[in-house]
Amino acid sequence: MARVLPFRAGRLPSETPPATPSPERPEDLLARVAQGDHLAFEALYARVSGPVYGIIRRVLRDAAQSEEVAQEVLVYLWQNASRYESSKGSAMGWVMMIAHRRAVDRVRSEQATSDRHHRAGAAEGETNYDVVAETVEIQLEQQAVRRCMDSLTAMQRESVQLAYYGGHTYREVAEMLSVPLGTVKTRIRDGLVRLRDCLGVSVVGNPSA
Amino acid sequence: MTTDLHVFTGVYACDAQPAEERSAVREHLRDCDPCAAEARSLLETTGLLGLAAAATPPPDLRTRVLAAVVTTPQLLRAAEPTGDLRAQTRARRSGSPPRWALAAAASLAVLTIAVGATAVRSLDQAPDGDPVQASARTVSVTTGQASATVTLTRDDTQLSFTSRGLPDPATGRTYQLWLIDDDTARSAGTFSPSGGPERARIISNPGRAQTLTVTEEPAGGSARPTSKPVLVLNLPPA
Repeated sequence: MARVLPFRAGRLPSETPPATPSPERPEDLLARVAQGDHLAFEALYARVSGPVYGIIRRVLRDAAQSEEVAQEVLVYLWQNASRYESSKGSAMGWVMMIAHRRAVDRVRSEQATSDRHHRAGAAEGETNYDVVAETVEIQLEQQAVRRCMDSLTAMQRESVQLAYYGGHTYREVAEMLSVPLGTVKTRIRDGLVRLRDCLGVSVVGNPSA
Repeated sequence: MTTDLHVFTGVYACDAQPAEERSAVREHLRDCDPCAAEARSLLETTGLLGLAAAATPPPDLRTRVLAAVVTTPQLLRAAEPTGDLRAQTRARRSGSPPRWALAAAASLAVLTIAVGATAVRSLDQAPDGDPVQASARTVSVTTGQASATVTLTRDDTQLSFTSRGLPDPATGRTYQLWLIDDDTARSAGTFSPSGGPERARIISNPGRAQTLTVTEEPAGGSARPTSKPVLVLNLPPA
């Protein structure tokens, strides 16, 4: 059924140093995490915990719930790092998609009790907690997003903010803005396309960007 | 309809459709390459919107996440087959055991294997190079001195591996799991036994693998086994 060999018996046939590419890219960190590398996970944590917590907090507002969902998401990254496919997009994009989706699922499951005014406030960009600007990367992103948001029409901006930062469904956005469903879908899509072009997002299958 | 779903890429990238509509959109994206490409680019875009909302997490979140991770099993995907072991396993298939198995068998200490709860036999009585067939779903292995226990369970799609009592690997080295079937050896991830409770490793997609081996490798793991296995386990049938 099974054989057990003495531990560390004999000499090693060869020493093959593992390939370690630049450890800083989240793509590389995820690949190492997928192999069970705890140090890589700590590095990944340092890299993504601020963005993960931030977007969840923005959608959920409530500090305790945000912390709980952020923990779920970060542990999920450890468990499921092997699911990440670099051909489908950047690692940071994948991480943020998971974080946002979890936050949205949580907010909708508590819809009955949640305070919609608070969520409307989240969409406006009000925050009463520390916004991280400690890394150059995030500072630049914040400036670029602010600048590009300004390039949208007021209608597009409002729709995108309510949908993404507010965690609302397009039906809710349509109700809140008193416009037809089709209009909301189009505004969100056109707004995001304009943001994409303004932010210079490189498209598909270019994970090294 | 198609136009409508195409416009849906924005809603999809914002997670702004109700959960029950998500799968319909995904289905459409599978069939429409331009839509899928646009959805991906818009998901990257909303990712940047998310990044811009970064906030300082509470200080104890890190401690709790790192602690949780120590006891959390990982979904492991077996790596692509590697060339080297193919030759070895081809040799085995044609009747002769792989070289490392012979070398290992030659250096065997007398070890005790407990099968299930009852059967106990001495390893050196096992037919050379022909591991005893596993019928139990759980395989426990106890070595005399090191007292390692390995438990395997298996269903159609995944394999769970738990080890207890393995000594720490040498400094700068790690244990690595390998799935071996007729002509391939695939890495199933690295692990370190140090620090606390046993950890179950979930190995997805074991395929037709008949054997699981554990070798000691340089930290970070190797593309193929570079040392003699410390454990060789016949897998229970799926």
